[in-house]
Amino acid sequence: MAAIEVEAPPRVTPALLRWADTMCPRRLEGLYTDRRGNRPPDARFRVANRVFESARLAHLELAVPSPAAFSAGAGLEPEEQAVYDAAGRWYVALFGDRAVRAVDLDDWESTVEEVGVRLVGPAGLPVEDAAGNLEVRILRVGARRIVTGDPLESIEGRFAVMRAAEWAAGGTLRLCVADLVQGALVERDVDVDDVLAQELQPWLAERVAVIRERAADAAPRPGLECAHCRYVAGCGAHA
Amino acid sequence: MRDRLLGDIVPLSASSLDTWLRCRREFLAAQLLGVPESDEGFSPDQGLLVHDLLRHVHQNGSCNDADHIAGVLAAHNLEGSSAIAGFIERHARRCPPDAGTGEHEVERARFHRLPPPMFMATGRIDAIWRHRGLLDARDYKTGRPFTERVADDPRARLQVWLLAPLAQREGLRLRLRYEFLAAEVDDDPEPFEPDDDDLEAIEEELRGVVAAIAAEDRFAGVNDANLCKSCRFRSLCPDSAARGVPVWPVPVGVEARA
Repeated sequence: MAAIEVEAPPRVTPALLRWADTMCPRRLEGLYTDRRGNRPPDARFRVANRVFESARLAHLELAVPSPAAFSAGAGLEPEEQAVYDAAGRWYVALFGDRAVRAVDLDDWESTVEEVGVRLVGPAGLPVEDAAGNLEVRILRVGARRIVTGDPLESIEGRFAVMRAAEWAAGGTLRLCVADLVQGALVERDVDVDDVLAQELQPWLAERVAVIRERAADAAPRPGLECAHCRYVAGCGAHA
Repeated sequence: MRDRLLGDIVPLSASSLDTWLRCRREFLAAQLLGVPESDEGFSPDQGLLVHDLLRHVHQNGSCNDADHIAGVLAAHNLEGSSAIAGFIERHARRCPPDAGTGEHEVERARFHRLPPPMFMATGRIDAIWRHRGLLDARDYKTGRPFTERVADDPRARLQVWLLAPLAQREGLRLRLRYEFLAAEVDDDPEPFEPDDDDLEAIEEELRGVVAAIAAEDRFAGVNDANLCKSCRFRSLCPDSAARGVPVWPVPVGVEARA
């Protein structure tokens, strides 16, 4: 029997949500339709990835995090090691009074049927405490954007709640955004169903409408962002 | 698998080129690894402000119109700043007359495919004027002069390479001029009007830089106290000649892992 191939829904990332109004339409269309492109570098994320993984391992069992959990392993440059060490110390300082265990959700994507897209990208560290209280921790390591007063004002915060929607449905989710270099933490308890219905789903629908409209007329608009574009091959601006 | 420091296409800008030529370790930290800065450097605030003001001045009027300039300064709460007004006045003496409003903060990108390695050069040009058969590009500088000829500055060479296709398409002669707008500067360096041979040589230079970046595996720091003292990574860099303590806050009562 022949396998039936089901086309995956288009892909929406935090970057697309953030730059939907201003990104080059051709680049936006490539990201939205998940077109293959030239390979980007990936070393920039390795400190953040290791910090995240260390934090997750610190909570394999119900426990408060300890400095011992933060061992970067080999392969980091000294500058990166210093950032990793600072981030580990701040993680323990900011979250050291909460015993939680990490929860395994889909690490990378979830589908929003109502809007017909996949949300693709990191969604923070999901954890729960002994009483079953749920929490998502967004761990920033050296981000240029400052941590604002309300974590739901940030794209990552909104994205994380939507990614966690199924897991946290019908209850309260504590949303945390932590800057592990500057030592800042903002958090908010979110009534998930209410915030999704009143705020996030309409917002996502509006953002996706903008993305679809701009992707439909995908003429290139060359500029500084070409430096990071994955779709240079075949681009009329660079023929 | 080793992490990729570079993608298939290497990005190159005047700023990243300048960093590469100054210190490979700084280039690694800033451009390739995205390490958060550990130290204060020279503040770019005044330069950014002057660039922003000059854009406003030209987009809505003339830099020779005293009332207009006073209005722009007032809109930026800078009525009493003779220093800032001085930057605009010194620009006005250099601004080409009857060249229209010009274009300001123009983004350019140019892709090099063959021969390898591939790279994407990008840049923002402060101002472009079209007059007397010239594509007259300007780069505003608020610091001290560092060269007598624009053609000798690698950043300028990248900028003219970015602008060359535009000038060619419009049938204009390309010129890049640095406007040194600080009060203590008497003369600007000699402008650069590249010919075809210059542009071909520049492309080869840029290709050589990208090939060197791709081949680099040590990324040794320059270890020069004069340069290191203003580096934004000097407290992290293993090769720093001006080490200090990162300015990041430190949590109280949490020790690093033993």
